[in-house]
Amino acid sequence: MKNSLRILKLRRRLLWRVLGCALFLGAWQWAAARGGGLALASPLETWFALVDMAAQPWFWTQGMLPTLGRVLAGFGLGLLAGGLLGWIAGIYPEAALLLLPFRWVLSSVPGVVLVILAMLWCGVGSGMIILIVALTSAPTIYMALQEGLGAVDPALCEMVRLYRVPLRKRFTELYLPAVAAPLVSACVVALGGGMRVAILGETLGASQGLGYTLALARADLNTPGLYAVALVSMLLVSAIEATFLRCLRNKLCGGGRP
Amino acid sequence: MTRQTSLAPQTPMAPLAPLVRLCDVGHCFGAHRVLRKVNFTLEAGGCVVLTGPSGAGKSTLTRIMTGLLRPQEGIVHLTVRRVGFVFQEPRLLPWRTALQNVLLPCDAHQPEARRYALEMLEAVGLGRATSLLPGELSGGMRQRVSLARALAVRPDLLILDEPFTGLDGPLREDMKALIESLVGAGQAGAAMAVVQVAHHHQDILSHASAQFRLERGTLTAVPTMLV
Repeated sequence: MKNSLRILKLRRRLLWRVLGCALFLGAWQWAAARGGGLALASPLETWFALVDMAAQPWFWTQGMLPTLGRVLAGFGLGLLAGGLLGWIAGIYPEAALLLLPFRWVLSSVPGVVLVILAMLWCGVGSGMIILIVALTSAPTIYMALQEGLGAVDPALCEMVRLYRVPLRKRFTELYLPAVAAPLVSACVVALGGGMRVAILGETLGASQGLGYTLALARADLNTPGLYAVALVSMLLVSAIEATFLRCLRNKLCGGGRP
Repeated sequence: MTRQTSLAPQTPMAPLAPLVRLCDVGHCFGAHRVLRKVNFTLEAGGCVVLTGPSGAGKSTLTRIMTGLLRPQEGIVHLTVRRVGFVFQEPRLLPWRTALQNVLLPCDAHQPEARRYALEMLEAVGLGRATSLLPGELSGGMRQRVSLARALAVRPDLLILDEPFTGLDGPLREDMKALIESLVGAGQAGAAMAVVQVAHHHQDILSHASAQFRLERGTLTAVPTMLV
């Protein structure tokens, strides 16, 4: 009885999802049919362009893989730097004040300014893309950790101090699970933002990657190709979210049951 | 002048020093004086009750006894090795099961610690709820997990800081009877000293040997016949 109710609920959720996708595709098709041409490719044209691109080996080796590698490397660096500094700022409020100007500058500078500055500092290529992805990811992770740690229940902190719980155990049993939810959400946001600036950076100054493919499609006035690249970047972020971030979420927020 | 000393574990031949000795202890929070010239001694195996109105400094005094708070004045001598604390609210990790919460202060990899934690959960009547999360337990059950956690460390000092707060009539009585049976039966060791903070007279444990009243920061002993 309980199981069949659960299946019914899942089916209903699936139905709403499918309906949402159909509504989106319908609206897209309608807009393309009314004001299409160069400005807007239809879903079908985009799909054919995507299939065409996917059939060519250069798309994988020169387009998708370089972007994926750069985004993951930049995100990893941002996670490391933002995580470490966010942890310190969450524990020591003085450090948060010290780092405030850096955080404020990095989170308010427009992506395109960051790309141009990174091009001046690192030149054109992978290093520049990795740097801008790291610089845009780090403040998001930093803020999630700083605020997450600040919100840890002081009563629980006092309890672990009273029982002299070792530092390592405090980290794994109290602090990490407490910041897991905001941290995973911040990772999703940082990854999406990282993909955006990576493609922007590749469009302006790289000879490989999805951004470069986008620049070529723009130069050829290949609108379905443009939309296909946008779709691939969205699918890439979704794939990372569905694999790595889902694992992270399950590991950190999965509760204590063995 | 404050001096806080934690002595090494005593050898069997050494005379037993008091677990807690406070001399002329005073403490303020900002301009508000919470404790003034408090003198208090607690021997191993003793069971004392601290009463007093809300905000009188009872919880501050228990925090000083456990070493959580360093007083601004006076001398504190602690020979306590392991403290068990039942707070007013259960203070359980919401993402860990009842058993994992009880094991938190222990070495969870040691089979003996695990066995004893299970034994304590069994003793508080939660032998069948070991794998439940705090959110799946009632208020009374959560407080019993907190009691099991306090006993699982085999404390030489058990502090019960108004553990019945938030529990209604029958649950209150059940919890009191449970504590009396466990503590009175020496479940966690005969030499365990107990400090109970109580707000209501009916909450006082039946085997309490002394009662102190804390009012306006001053600690006074209540004559035994009134306990």
